[in-house]
Amino acid sequence: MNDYQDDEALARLRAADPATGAHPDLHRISQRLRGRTPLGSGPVGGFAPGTGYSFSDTSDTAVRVSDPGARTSRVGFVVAASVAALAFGGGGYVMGVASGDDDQGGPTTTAADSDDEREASDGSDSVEDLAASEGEAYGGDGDIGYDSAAGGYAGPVVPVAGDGLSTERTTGTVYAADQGGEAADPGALLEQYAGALGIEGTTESDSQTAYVTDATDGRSVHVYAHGGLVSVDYSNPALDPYCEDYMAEPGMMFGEDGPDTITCVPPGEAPDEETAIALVKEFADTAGFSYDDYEFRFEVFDPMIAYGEDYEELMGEQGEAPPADDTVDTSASTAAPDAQDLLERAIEEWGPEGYPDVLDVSVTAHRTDAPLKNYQSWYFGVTDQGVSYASFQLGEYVSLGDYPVISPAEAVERANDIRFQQIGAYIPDLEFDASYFEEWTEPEPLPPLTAGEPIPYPLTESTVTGAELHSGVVNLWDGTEFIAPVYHLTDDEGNSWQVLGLAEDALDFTP
Amino acid sequence: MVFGLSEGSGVGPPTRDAAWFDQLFAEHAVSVHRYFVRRAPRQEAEDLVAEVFSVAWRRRDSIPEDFVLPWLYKTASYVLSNHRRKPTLTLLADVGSTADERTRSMDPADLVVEDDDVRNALARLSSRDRKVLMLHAWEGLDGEGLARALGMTRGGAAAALSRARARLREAWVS
Repeated sequence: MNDYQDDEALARLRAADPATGAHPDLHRISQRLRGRTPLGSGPVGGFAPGTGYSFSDTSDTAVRVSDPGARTSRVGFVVAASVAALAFGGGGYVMGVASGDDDQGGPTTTAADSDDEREASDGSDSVEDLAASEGEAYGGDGDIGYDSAAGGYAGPVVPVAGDGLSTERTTGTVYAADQGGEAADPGALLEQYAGALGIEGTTESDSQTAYVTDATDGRSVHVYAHGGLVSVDYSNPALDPYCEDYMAEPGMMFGEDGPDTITCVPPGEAPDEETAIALVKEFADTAGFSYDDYEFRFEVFDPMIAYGEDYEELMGEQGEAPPADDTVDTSASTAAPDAQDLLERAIEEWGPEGYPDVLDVSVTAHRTDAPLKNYQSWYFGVTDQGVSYASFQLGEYVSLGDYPVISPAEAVERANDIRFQQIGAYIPDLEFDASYFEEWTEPEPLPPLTAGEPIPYPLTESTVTGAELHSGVVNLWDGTEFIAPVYHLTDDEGNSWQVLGLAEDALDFTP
Repeated sequence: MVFGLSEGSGVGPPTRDAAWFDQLFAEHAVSVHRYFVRRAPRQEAEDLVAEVFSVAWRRRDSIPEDFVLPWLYKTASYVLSNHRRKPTLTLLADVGSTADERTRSMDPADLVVEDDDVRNALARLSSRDRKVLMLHAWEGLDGEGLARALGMTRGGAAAALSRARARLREAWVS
């Protein structure tokens, strides 16, 4: 957040986001995906024999769609799965783009593997066949008819406490960054690390940040102090597997005080776990930070998009079996020669040669005694030549003691309290745990607006049946961050709310 | 920011079946759509989103579990590049269409950014810098997520962002 506070240009760029408020026509996207993916055919739906797809043809299931533009956490809007499967009924439109290779080794047993699709995916479909089945998919009359199946957001859901929720209060520990820690002087920290690593260059710093780039080899260290904690980033561009790509690019690679160019150190094969962790520890020892309370994990990631040789195949798939869509051509063979040329050039550019094997690995370090073990982890990018990138955080979370915590029933009341809705409480441990499939009843259409009559504004009450107390992170507007008890409330409909658990006695409301 | 898919059970990797794909679509369709709204004529965004999810289904086994959204963004960048270059079938039908040439040859930032200062500053940057900055400012990516979306190492992405920010600041004042 401080990025934006300190950087007007970046803040203005963010504010200029042209997608603010944009929302896709999910019907249209679903329509484009029919026959190409099993969208809408998951277990939330039924099975429609003979169509080549299983899907819900009723309106009683739903997929919760995440909307990152929503300000409150965990807010989604719900789309009936039948919408995703719209217009599948009556047809069996599939196109021959399914790759047999895709399914090799994949644990998938889905509707997309049904006989109908296999038949259709043998590449033998003629343009006419595709066109005919396309027509069938539309029900023969061109009416895709999804409007009546449209699901969607049915108004605010107001949580109410279920009878089973406890009304007993408890206590919980609050942790905050140690304000007397190392973050006090980023310039001094920079000097310490840069000196230990032998980085020599012009240092720039202010009260929050300090950075230096080595004038000869381009290595850099950034120190960023925030709320009593400090983050340190180190980069050794010579060890970056993409170093030579960077060097080939014109422009200021290292700023005014950095070198014009550097000598890349091409990596060999990616190091194994033992070697990688040893290289990280060697780096830490050199830089001078302790890892005594950390455990290391080794990870090898697939390339971001591991097309490799497959990408040529992918392009070939598209060339041989294009979407049977009225806005596209239907066969590479009918394409203009210059288009074929473009296709080949694209394969050349985006094909295997453009994506070398991954030659670096990741090592992460997690503090074993922290209140949230995975919240502040260290990251290292490592090649067989050493650490190419490091990002680590320093600073202690110290206990402020135990504080009173409201009861689960009170937490439900608080979920409706505007005073606690404008500062989010976030539970890192639950970040990957949410249900996105749930039963869904199609909402009744709202009554028409009528002069003089009340305006429809439906509210739905939902009973909270679950309340778990977790350690969560709260960020205040000035960057202050603390760890406190946070309730995770759930109902039986798939809704959830996260609510700060600290009792009002524990809070100072003075403006 | 949630990059991966939410796991209902939290036990073991998800089976990449139809239900998985439904969830993938449900969780990320809006984000991917916004990616294209930011970079392409809006009327084309939905078709491009469909292309990304089509690729995602075919390439489902290569999607890193914890970085689904950056993977989708990366794929979106390919789809967009191909769209502009017209090598894919989506584009073959449009070869020779002057109207299409006109719209696709424009820089999307010129089409969609209303703030003159921002547009002018972006215009002074390389396309690579613009790409990095947009992913950071609009998609909210940094760290490993940014690296995944760019197809770079984390260090490379951090350095690229740092440099792009510096050049944006320079472009801003000049």
